[in-house]
Amino acid sequence: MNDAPAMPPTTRRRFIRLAGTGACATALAPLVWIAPAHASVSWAALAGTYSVPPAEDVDATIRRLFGTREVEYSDAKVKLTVPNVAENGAVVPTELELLAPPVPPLYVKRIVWVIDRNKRPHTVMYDFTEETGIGYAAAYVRMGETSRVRGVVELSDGRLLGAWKEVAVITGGCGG
Amino acid sequence: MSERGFVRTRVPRAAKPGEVIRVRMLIVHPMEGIERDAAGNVLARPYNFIYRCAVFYNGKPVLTITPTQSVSANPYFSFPLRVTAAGTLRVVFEDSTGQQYEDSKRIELA
Repeated sequence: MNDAPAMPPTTRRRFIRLAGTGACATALAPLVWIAPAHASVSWAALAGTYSVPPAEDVDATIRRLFGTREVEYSDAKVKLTVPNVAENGAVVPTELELLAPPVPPLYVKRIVWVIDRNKRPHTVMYDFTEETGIGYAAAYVRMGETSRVRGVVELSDGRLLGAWKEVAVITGGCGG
Repeated sequence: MSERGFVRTRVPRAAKPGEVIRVRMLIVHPMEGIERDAAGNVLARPYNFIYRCAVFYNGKPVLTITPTQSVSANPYFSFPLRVTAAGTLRVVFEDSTGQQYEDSKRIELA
């Protein structure tokens, strides 16, 4: 965990203070070093985008990902499982499930986690195929502060479903 | 277990044809978030985090995951997979230094 070179030690106290002052909240796309793709996997042939998401408002994130299409937020259709209270924002377990799994040939094309009050709300994206787009995905995410967590599901017919829950964060985990 | 790049994939050993199984993946990786100095300035350095993952079943791409720095350290991912034939599940993670980490699991038909 602590193999970052030439870094001042991040003590827990300092970390908390930084997180608490919203320090985790600034743009830095240009600082990220993306190496050229490795030869053994032809990433270009696969679905998905690999850029670092920008620091932006949550509405901008939704617009960037899905355009002006309406997301139908419905707890009756999408079950988002998150803790009510997260002691540690650095590891927040989340799970998303479609209560009525799509019947083939319909499948889930994409599931995106969006965390409203992280500076970069776009958190993780799954791009499925027919074999895997059955309406479930899970991930452990970071949260900088108490926020709404959304999961947005894109079906192969273009419909957008979603669900959101509030998660109270006690110790911020710096949402990048 | 605690070595960077260790990928643990959990799948059932066998599945009925057409059965939907749940695949769970855990990878040991720091997933460095953005850090700042005492004055609050962003430390300008490359951050090492996993930014893509591809999953193949019998060589066919079935899923890509695009994590960001907002994903926890030692990330966990889970997804369903419809098994129609026995085969090998291969997962490949790549971090922003270009380093790749992978794991394979065999799934038989029950």
